[in-house]
Amino acid sequence: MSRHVDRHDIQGIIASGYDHLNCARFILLRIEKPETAKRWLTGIARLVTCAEHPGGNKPRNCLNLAVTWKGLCALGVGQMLGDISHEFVAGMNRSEARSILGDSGESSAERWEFGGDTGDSQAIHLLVLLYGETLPDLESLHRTVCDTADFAEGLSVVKSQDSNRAPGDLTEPFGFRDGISQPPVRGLGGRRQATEPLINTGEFVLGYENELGYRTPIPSIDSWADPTGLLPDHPDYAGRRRGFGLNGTYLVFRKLVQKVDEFRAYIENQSRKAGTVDPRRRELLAAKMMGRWRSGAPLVLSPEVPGSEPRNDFLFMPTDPDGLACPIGSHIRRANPRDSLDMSPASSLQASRRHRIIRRGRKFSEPSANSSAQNPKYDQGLYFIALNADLRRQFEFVQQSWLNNPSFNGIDNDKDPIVGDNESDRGSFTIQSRPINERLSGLPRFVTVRGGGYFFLPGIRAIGFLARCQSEIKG
Amino acid sequence: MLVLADIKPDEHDALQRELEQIGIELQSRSDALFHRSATTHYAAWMILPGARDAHDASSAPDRLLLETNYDGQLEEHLSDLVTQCGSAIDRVYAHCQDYPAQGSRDPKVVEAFFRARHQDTSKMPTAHYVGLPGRSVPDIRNAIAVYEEAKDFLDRFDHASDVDSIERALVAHFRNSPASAPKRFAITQAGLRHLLVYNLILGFPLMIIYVLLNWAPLCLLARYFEGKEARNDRRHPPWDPTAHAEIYSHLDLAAQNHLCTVATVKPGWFRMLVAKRALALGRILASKFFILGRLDQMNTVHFARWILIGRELLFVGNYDGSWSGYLGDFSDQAWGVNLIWSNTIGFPPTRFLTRGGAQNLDAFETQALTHYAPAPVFYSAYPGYPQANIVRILEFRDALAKKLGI
Repeated sequence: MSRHVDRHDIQGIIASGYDHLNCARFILLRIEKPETAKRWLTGIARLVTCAEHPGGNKPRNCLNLAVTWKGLCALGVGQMLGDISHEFVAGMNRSEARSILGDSGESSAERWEFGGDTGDSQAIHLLVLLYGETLPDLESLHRTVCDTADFAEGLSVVKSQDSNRAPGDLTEPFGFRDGISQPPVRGLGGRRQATEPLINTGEFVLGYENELGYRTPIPSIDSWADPTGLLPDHPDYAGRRRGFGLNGTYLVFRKLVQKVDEFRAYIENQSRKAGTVDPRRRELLAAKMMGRWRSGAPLVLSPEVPGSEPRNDFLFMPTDPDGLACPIGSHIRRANPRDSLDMSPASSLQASRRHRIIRRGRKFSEPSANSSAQNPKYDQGLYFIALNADLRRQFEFVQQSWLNNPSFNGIDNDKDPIVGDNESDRGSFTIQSRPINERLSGLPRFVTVRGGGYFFLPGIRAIGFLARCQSEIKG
Repeated sequence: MLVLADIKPDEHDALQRELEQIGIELQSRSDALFHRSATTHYAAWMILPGARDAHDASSAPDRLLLETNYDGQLEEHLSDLVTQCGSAIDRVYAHCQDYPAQGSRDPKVVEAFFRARHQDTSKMPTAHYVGLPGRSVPDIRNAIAVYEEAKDFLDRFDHASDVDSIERALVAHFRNSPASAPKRFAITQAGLRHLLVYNLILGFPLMIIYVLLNWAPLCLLARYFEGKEARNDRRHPPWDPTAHAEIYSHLDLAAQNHLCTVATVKPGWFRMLVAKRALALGRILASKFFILGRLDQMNTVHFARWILIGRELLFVGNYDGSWSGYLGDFSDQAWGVNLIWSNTIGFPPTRFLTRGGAQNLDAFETQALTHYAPAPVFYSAYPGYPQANIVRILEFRDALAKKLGI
């Protein structure tokens, strides 16, 4: 069932994190006048970055666009769609998501800055992702996209959020090198390694074969709703339906606040001996919780002495089946167990390949709510962005069954030490060791959710359809 | 135990509300209802649609299913339930037809009511998988208590000690009046391993012959019927999740969850035959080979039961984790799921009975969701302990008991 991957129709953010573009802006929009919004869409559709760069040159800025379920309905398309994801429609703030995603307590949807309200008055419809090599590059793109009459009249800005990093800075706020492990995707430039074969395109782009051997259901509309043939034909309903979702994917957007001071305080307290902090133990504890040293070197390859190479070509079972180097409950072992699940290593590798996500997050730093001129305070965190074709089997599965699962892979009662929804200081973390395991207790929750939503990242032709489709609603 | 009772006409909604209320009470109180029963591993109440055969959607009454997994004899278990949960039973079955007027004030009459509606699985095609065969509730609870106490004790140890002195201290702690004394029970994992080896040596050659003589022809013959069915089946319209949104909210309630589906066997003699033979195969595999806590590869299933009532295939399962993870695990070993369920209406098409079908996880999930009966009341005697962990905990307690010379 191999199909040529149409990189011209796939938005660029799926194929690349635009590492050379250090400035980013994420704008959440609401559609106020659908017909005007569609005119705006028509204007910017040709600017949306696709996964194929002419001449191989790296652009100085990039634009991508995603839409929510409510946004699709506001544009008159939602009601026509079949085979659309339940999680996408019901939303990240639906009631059962609380336990699935661990969005409880401080992170519960009622407290979110955006995306938590189920009402229409606070609805988010669109997400515009702007990237620039420098701030002037970003601002220039911003002006082109947002300083137009159609934009001012048809849309309102719910929230605009910036992320700027120093060139070459690839760390996240706790101080760890981030973004090392990304799934190598077939057809999108993925490079296979001995420890990691390519992952099928269909895990991350709709319309292609996934790791289960078939095509994930593609959001589709009846052919009569697309008389001019703006959309590609649906591969499974030839002639009768058109593939609105072809070459698209689902995008997870979550604003995560990281409690940097609390994290530092916790590991320092745990590494005190006779009153003074032992820096070696402090670094070791931080590494045990993450699964990598702060440099990004994996514990599996550098168990005792801090390594410096952020390598990703390793497996767990050959050298570390019992978690003595990299604890079984550590963050990277939970987020991608590779060959270490409770089954044969080959089966585990196959299973792990079915629950990968592409991560495109960017870190941020903003003044806290209680910051003042005399006493400036900053919140640091991550705009977590993930791309996957199946929200339930990929993003939500990893959150529920691996990260926040207190019984992950045979563990007794620990959640992820870095991102898990540990309940107010009752969390624990087991470090496998000889002769007996070490158990850290009193682990608080270090990462809280302050907003989020599920989006659909359409193919380029689908964006054109959104801009030009005949809708039944008046606007 | 499976007890099916007809619901009084027009009382479906009232009963649903009653069950939801009881479900809340069960979650919030640790002494309510099934918590008081010493013989119940799992219990669930769910409403099933009226029985229908493949040819017409007749207006048979909706039914209430009570499903329990228990220790010992049925008589003692019934008596235990009626005694401990009498008032809840009265509230629930007041909505069902022919429930005795005096209710649990006269326990014998209620027990007779249940016995009359009990689905006697020795007389119908059925398959029953038990994750921890032969283990009683007291056995499992003792192992858990001993394990937790040992963990707390070991937390206080300094890492510099060596293995032998730690082990000596642990054994000494449990010898000198611990809070939970390890007990010896009849079944041990080691004993089950021996039994499995014995079964494999005796049974494996027989199984090969059985598979060749029985299943090879069936799988080949199936191709004819599969082809016929493909020509007759209409193409499914795309799934519209907005039309079925409320189903999802019942699915993932806790670390351990319940799944009940009701499907109808396709018309014709072939499909009925395959369904019965598939259940017979399931019975052999579950009782002789899948006895160490894994249903083939899956170690997240506590109990799973299939039963054919007329042309209705009823499935009830208690498992760890999320419903989609559970179905995903089943989909990974789709041959078994396909053998049983490909005989039912609406199941994704198979090839040679074992290929295809549930391998399409999205289609399999859609099938499960459209045939799903939520259980507003769900009880577990050991919530928070996955199947795989309990196996380890049992081995630990058994090893400790051996060291103590019990």
